[in-house]
Formats: sequence, C-alpha cells, structure tokens
Amino acid sequence: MSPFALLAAAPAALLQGGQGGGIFFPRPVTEAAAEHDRVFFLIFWIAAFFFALINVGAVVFAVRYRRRRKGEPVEKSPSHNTRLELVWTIIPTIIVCYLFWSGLKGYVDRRTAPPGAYTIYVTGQKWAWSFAYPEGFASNELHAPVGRPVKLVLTSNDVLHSVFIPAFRIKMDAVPGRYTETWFKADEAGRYNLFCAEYCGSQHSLMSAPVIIHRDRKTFDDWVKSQTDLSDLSPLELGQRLYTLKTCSSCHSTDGSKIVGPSFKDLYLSERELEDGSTVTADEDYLRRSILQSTAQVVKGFSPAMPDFSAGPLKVQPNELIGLITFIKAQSEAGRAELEAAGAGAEGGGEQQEQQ
Amino acid sequence: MSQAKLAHHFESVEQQFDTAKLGMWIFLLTEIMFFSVLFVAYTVYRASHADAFQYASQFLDTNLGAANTLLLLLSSFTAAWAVRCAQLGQKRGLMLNLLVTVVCALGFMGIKYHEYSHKYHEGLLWGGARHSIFKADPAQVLPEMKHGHEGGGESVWESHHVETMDPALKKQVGIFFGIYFCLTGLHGIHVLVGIGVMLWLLWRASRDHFGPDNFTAVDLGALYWHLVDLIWIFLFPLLYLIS
Amino acid sequence: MTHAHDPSLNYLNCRKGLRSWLGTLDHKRIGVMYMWSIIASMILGGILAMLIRAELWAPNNGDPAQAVLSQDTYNQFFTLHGAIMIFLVIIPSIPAALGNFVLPMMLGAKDVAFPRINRLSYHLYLIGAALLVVSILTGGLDTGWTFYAPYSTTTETSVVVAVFGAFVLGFSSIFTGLNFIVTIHKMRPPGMGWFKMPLFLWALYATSIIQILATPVLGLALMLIAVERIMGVGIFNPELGGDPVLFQHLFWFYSHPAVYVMILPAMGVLSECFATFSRKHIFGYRFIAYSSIAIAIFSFIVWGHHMFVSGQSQLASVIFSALTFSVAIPSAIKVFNWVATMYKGSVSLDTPMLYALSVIWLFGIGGLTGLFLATLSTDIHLHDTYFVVAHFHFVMVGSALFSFLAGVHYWWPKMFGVMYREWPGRIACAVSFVGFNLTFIPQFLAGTHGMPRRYWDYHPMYEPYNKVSTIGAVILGLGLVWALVNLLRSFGSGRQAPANPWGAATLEWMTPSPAPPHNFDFAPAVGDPYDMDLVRYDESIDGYVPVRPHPDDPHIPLVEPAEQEDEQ
Repeated sequence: MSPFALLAAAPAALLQGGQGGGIFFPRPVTEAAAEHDRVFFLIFWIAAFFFALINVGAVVFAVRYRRRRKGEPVEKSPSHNTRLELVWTIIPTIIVCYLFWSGLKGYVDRRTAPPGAYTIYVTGQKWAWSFAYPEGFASNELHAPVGRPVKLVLTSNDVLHSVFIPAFRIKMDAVPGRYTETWFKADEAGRYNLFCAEYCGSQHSLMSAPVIIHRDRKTFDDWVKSQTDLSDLSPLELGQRLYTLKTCSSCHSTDGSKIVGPSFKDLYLSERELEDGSTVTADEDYLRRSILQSTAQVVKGFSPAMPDFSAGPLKVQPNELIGLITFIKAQSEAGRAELEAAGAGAEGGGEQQEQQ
Repeated sequence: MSQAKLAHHFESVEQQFDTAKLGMWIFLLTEIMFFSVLFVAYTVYRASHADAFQYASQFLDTNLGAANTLLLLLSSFTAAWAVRCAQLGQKRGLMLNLLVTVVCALGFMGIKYHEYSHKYHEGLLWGGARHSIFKADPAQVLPEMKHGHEGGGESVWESHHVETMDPALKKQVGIFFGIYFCLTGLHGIHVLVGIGVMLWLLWRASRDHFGPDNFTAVDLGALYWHLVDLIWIFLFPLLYLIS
Repeated sequence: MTHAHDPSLNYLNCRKGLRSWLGTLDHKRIGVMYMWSIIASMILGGILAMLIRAELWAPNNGDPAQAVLSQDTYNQFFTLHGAIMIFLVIIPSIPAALGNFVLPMMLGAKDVAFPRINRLSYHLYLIGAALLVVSILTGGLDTGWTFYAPYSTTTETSVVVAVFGAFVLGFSSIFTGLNFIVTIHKMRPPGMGWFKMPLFLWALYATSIIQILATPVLGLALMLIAVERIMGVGIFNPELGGDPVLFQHLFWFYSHPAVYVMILPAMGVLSECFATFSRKHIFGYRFIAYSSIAIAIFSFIVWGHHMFVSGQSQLASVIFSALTFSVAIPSAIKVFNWVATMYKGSVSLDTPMLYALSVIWLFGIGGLTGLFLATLSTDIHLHDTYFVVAHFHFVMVGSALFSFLAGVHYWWPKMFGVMYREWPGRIACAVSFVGFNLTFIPQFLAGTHGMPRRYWDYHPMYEPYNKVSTIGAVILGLGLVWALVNLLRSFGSGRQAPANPWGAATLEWMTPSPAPPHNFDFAPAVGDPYDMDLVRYDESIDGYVPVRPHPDDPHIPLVEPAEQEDEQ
C-alpha cells in the first residue's frame, strides 16, 4: 500500500476502531468495564473542555495581538490579578477532587471479589500462563461461564508478569513470592484476549492466552468435564492434551519453527548435537531424560530455560510421560511408522493443536 | 599561615566561605538520602519480620559495636577540635587532632574487619552467599560451614540448629544479614573516604595551608566526618541493640 | 574592578584547542559542551526510535522470520532508547546545557558557585555515557529503563555495567543541582531578591531540589541491583525472602520526581519565551514561582501511582491517587498564566515562540491525559499500555524536548553570536509538531484498545494505529533534523547577532553576543526581569537597546536604585 493510500485510510480505520467497539474501547462486556468507560468519558469531556479553552485562548491571542511591526508600542495591561488567579486555582482543585472520588469506586470494586466467587489460580511463567481450576486440573486457557463472578489469584514462578484482559478492563501484576488478586463477571459469551502487560523478556509480546466465556453454565461444565476426565484417553490423545496443558506448546513447535526450545517435528530418532560438541540419538530414553531433567543434555544453540518437570507443581506422572513421548514420536516419520506398526494409530498428528 | 585565595567569581572571602559551607550541607543532605534507601529497606523488613531481626541481631557482638561507637564519638570530638585549632592558627594542635581522628578511624575499620571475618567464618551471611549457613536448601550449605572450625568449638549451624529452623524465619535472617552488610559496608566505604580526607588535610596542615583566615577545608572535612559518625550512631542501635 | 580589554574577545575565541574546552571551568563552555553531547545522544536515541517504529510497522504473527528485528534485539533497542533519552538527553537537556549557560548570567554573576564541581559533573556525564556504550558492547541491556527486579537481577545481559553508568550519571545530575542551589542562594547580586529572579531560575531551583534529594535514592537502589547480581544479597529476590515490589517503590521515588526534573525547567523556558515574545510582563509572577516549588514538593509524594496494579495495598493506591491530583493544579496555573501573558501583548511568532505555543497544545494533551492515569478506575485498564507510552512522550518529548528546542533557539544568538534563519526554523517546528501528533495520538487509541507496551509483536487489530504512528515518526524525525541543519547553517551564513535580539529584560541580554569570557564587562544593575520598558527596538541593528543606557556600558540599562521590592 502506498503511504498516501494509508494516510487516506487511516482516519476511517481510527473511527471504525478495533473490533467494532467505538473509537476508544473494545466493547465492554462486564459491569466494571461499563463503569470504567463511564469514568473515562467523564474525564475525557472535562479534559476536552480545558484543552479547548487554553488552545483557543492561545490561538486567538496569538492572532489578535500578533506583532504587526517590530518595535510597535505595547498597551499597558495588568501583570497580575489575584482574584482571577485564585479562580483558576480553585476551580481545577474542585474538579480533581471530584475526579479522584469518581475513580475510587470502580477501583475498589475491581480489586475486591464478591464472596463465593469461582476461584482460579493463575501462574505466570516465562512465557505462558497456567490456570488452575478448583476442580483440580490446569489449562493454558481461561474459561468461565457468563454471569458468574470469577476471582483470579495470581502469582509468578520467575519474574513479574501481569494479567490484562482489555475487554474486562482488568489488570493485575503476578508477583513471585506472593499472591495478588482481581476478578470479573462477564455478561456476554465470546472469546477475548488476555495479554501479559508487565515486561518479562524475549517472548513478552507472545505471552497471551485465550479467554473463553461460555454462554451458559452447562457448556462450561461440559468443558470442565472434558478437561478432568483423562482416564480413557489413549496415550497419544493424552500427550496431545498435555502438550498444551503443560504449556510445552509455548516453547516447542510441531511445524519445525524454532520458538524457544527445539521443535518436535522430526525430532524422534534424529541425531542431536549437544553444547559440549558430543552427539546423541533422540530415542525414548533421551526424550525421557530431556523432559524430566531438561538441563542435563542441552542441544547446541539453545539455552537451558525449561522448567523442572520432575518435581513440584509441574511434576509429570509416569502415564503422562508415556503420553508425551508418544506425542513427540507422532511428530516424525520414524515415530509414526513405529506407532502404526504397534497398532496404536497415529492419526492424531501434528495438526490437531491448530483447532482451538 | 596563608590567606584564603579569592576565586575570580566571588566578591569577598566571606561569600566564598559561606558558599562552600552551604555546598557541603547540601552534599550531606544527598548522603542522607543515599543511606535512606537502606534504612527504608531495614524498616520494611523489620516491620514485617520483627522476630527474625531480633533473632539475627544476637549474632552481632554488642561489645565490639559499642567500642566502635566510642571510637567514632572520640574521633568526631577531635575533628571538631581540629577545626577550632585551625581557626586559632594552632598548627600543632590541628595536626595532633587530625592524627587522632585518623587513628580512631583506622581502629574502627580494624574492629569492623574483625567482625566481618568472624561472620564470614561462621557463615553468618545472606542466603545467596556461597558460605552462608542460611541457605533455603540446607543440603547446599558447604560442609565446612556445618561442623566447627579450626579453633574448635561448636559451629553456629550446630549450636542454633539452623538445619531444622523454620524456613521463613531463616530467609528473613538471611535478609537481615544482607541489610547488615550493605549498611555497614556502605558506611565503611564512607569511613575509608573520610580517612583519605583526613590524611589530605594533615598533609595540607603540615605545609601551612591553614590559618585563621583559611580553614574552609578543615571545616568541611569535619562536617563530613560528623555525618559519618552520625550515621553510625543510628546503625549501632538499629542493628546491634534489638535482640 | 573594570579592566579594559579587547572587545572582540569572547568566551568562544578567548582560548583555542580541544583541551581548552574539555578542561574549561567556564560555565558557558561547559553548557555548550553539554548541549552538543545531548544532541549527539539524541541522534543515537532517535535512530533507535526509528528502528523500533520500523519493527512495529506491521505485526509479525509471532514469527521472527517476518520481523525487522529479532525479539531480543527489539527488547534491547527499546531499553536503550529509554535509557539514553532519559539519562543522557532529557534529564540533562535544559538544566545542564541551557541552565549552565544562562543561570550565572541571569544573576549577573561570573560563574556558578563551584566551577570545578561543574566540570566534574560534565566529565561524569561523559563517563556515564561511555559506560552505557560499554554495556551495549558487552552483552547489551534488555531490562527496560525501569530495571525492574527480579528480571534485572536474573537476565543475562550486561546489567551491572549499565546500572553503574546510570549511577555515575546520577552523580553528574546531583552535582549540577547542588551547584545551582548554592549559586542561587549565595550569588544573587545586590537588589535581586527572590521575587526579582527570572522565572527560569525559580524553575531551575525547584528542579535542583529534586535532583539532590531524589537522585541518591535511585543511585543506591540501582547499586543494590548490582550487588544482588554480583553477590546474591537477596533484598529484592523473593526466593531469598526479599520483596521485588520494594524495588519499584525505591525506583519510582526517584523516577517520578525525575519527570519533574524534565518538565520544570521546560516550564521555566516557556515563562521566559511567553514574556519576551509578547513584549509583556509575565502574568502572575508569584503564582508561577510558587507553583514551581509546589510541583517540586508534590513530586515526592506521588510515586505510588505507578504501582496501582503492582500488588501494593489498596489503601496505599487510594492515597497516592489523591496526592497525584495535587500536581495537576500548579501545572494548570502555569498554563493559564502563559496564555494570559499574551493578552494585549505584541505577540511575535519567531521560532522559539512557535515552539512555546506548540507546547501549550502538547503539554495540554500530555498533562490532561495524566488525569486518566491518576484516576484509580481508569488506570487499571490503561496502565502499561500504549496510552501510557503516548502520555509520557507528550510530556517528555512534546513538552520537555520542544521546550528545550525553544530554549536552544532563544539563547542561540547569545551562545554563538549568530542568528539562524527564521523561516526554515518555523517550518521545521511546524513539521515536527505535525509529525509528533501523528506519531503519538494513534498510540493513545492503541492503548485504550488494550495494546500493552514493550511489545515486539501485536494483535493484527492494532495495525492501523501502528502504521500511522510510524509514518508520523518519520515526519517528526525529518522536522528535528531540519531544525538542527538550520541551526548549524547559521555558523556559515547567519548574520551577526545583536546583544539583545528579542527584547528581553533579563540580565543575560545585557552583554554582547557571544558573551565575553567573564560574562559582563561591567556589573549590570538589577531591575524587574520582565519590565519590557527598559529596552526599545533599534532598527539599525535589528535588536533591542536600553532606553536609557548606563554611562559606563551601553548594553546595560540605567535602573533607579530605589525600585520597590515588590514586583507589582
């Protein structure tokens, strides 16, 4: 597009807004968001009035009293007027007091969850979010039903992160070593964005998560059920699920591209060159060790950034380990052939993770 | 005895002296703000973990702290006396007082060195230090820190059952030592600078640079020294006398 | 003590050679060296800004192959852009460059109180800048200019060298502030009471208070980051029982007042410009003077408004929000007074005044958008988005940097004795103004729609805003380069500047341009700094001369010694 066409298109793009939500905001989908927008526009119109006042004043004076001739005589006028100056000291004082007051309620409301809210523990970690639900499972998606207050209790495993959901107008930092909280009650089903708003390194701008608001309680409960019930999944299906649940997907691609760690594509049985120059074949034992003790054998060109999956909150259970290894196998020719031969069925290949 | 040299941009010697003095006071103000960071950190952690601070404070030797306090008080006194001598033009008195100030300051640093090396050998350090016995994971504590040292006797690790200490308490004890070393270390750097200043003044005094009309440098040096003393007067009770 | 000397001798040509500059004690030469160093740093920071805008031209869809810069490079560039522009450009811009040059002359003095400390301050500036360059060469810096723990204590880039650089720059700033306070207290000439000082000096005085009280706090907080990295002391490390939020408190205790180190002297420049170019006494002198001090005091009690969503207690946030609004009032007073000064004046639209009028617009937006961020409810949504980025660029660039440019054009004749050409200067100002608004107004909208700051990649919905913003940045860059070229051309073709080209009544204009080595051949008498009737236009030199020249020096007006103390 030429710069001229862009300039011509710009005003239209600005007025149209992002997702059809007006010039300034995405459409508010919580009461708190509507309250936020009300306060915003209150300030906006007051600010616009004063902005117009001083700029019109400045332009009018600059034109009306412009210098027509150098050295022209200047009419005497007062250099101060205490009454006038007190007026333009006191009026702004009253206005800002009012603004403070009007912003107070919305803040306290959004910081204090109502009693009985559905509580989700959110953990930030370079560079993915994990949401732990009270039913005892974790996901890297934030799901909730319409109309139910949801409290988010945040913490971080490494550096500062911040949960930011523009459609709900909420934001709260995730601080290592302590819990912080915020909450929301969405009034409209849909899919919204959650961004990380506190700078956290390389992948900061990619550290987002989908927020899915279900249209009623039943669809939400169905989703919860599908998440908790992992018992009758095949190892490959389990691995597929864990690939997103354990946030492997935020660092390891399945299409060959390098994100943070090596891609899973064609990984199984390939020769890996390590940091110290030695090579190793990526067989089952190597995969097992790399999942449980990722820093032991780091492939050349990568940093030992993977969290510990052998203990702690992220601990991988024995059956989960088999699932993950099966899933990684299914991403390469050799592994698929092996799985087919074993009759396990390899149809759950690499594309499934696209269909979220 | 020499006269003060009047710099080209001043009108009078009095103006020059007043200016230098105000400059020094403002510099001392920035020094206080400098230290205030650590005092704020101290206040925050002590307010939230008073018990850990009281517990940790018992490892500091109050007698050595008190001795250092006396040394600094004495040196502050001789620094003030040095200014008086300079104003009266008494060269010998000036030099003697400056010398005593330096000796006291060196004594202070000697005692400080003794305290530091003792802490280091006992492992009384912040949690992140290699020789610390207050590490979050007891398995990471160096073996030599656990079991006594050459002089015999029980190690702090053993005598205070650090292995089974409440982890939260242990962390805060580590923080206490972190703040202790930062505060006293920063103060120690200031004492070293002060020793340098006093030696410089001594050298200038020996060359007859000062006199009743020219004692600005002595006056300002002493002001700085009083601040270093004053900060210690705060440090001593806050660190040593809370157990 | 007047002693006759060659009238063609001035501070620029009295001594020659690089060593006569680097080793000088002359406040004017130090000010000029600061100015060129700042302009050089600004070019470096500007190039980084252009690369950042190039990266943000289009979204990358998470794919580094589509990006102009890799993620890590981008993170380093925005960090360095921020660190350079804040520590090397805007904080020293007006105080250290223009303030150093003008302050003693406005007092009718020969130099600042401590010329050696002044020189030390400049040398520390050079060392600090060198250390920042060393950190770039030894692994870069990717913490953001805010150095938030625990990221800054764990990242693998060259943080220790960089914080040491910032520490040294802090002392450069402290020594400048210390010098100015003492100079203003002790070296005012007889007859110049506090309320006979030009408002630029009030602004510098207020700025200096902030510099000496707040900068040490940043210095030590940054040293604690270094100590943490080297020795693992743990004061900000949650794993060792430390608190990362404490670092934010210490950081903003300096860094919010630092915003006023940037804007207060800018307001001082504007006060001079509005009076001079309207040929009128400044309106509401006392209110403007007191408002500078009020801003300096309030600046120390509002830092928590950077932390409404950081996990600090709700009560603390509420208190900080209330206190933050207090800053709005003195700022508003100043703007009203500047506009009122033009009333019934003889308003000239020379380049410095054009910049000053631009700042009315830009500071209007920058200041008023601050209301949204001080308000608790709206800050939750806007915090750490592009709304904040746009807001502080309107204040730091739109207001502080444009005022710096106003000041550079205003005092350029006094610095170098030549006049730049007016029309190219005005056009460059207009181009910069348009480019600036085009760059940053779309960023407000990206921010309200939720685009977080420090993003290497963004959701495609934010693309239109970023497109316009990048185009605006190119125009802004062109305008600034144009202004610089126009100034530089004056060395070759500019006409000789008269002593007082604009008709101001402050003392720095009561001596030839460029100034003699010791500023004044004859100590000027002090009148009202805004009594424009002291000077009249003289067509033969296209400048202003005293209405009643002093018998000993034609540059100095004769002032009745029995002027009343009060300025009214």
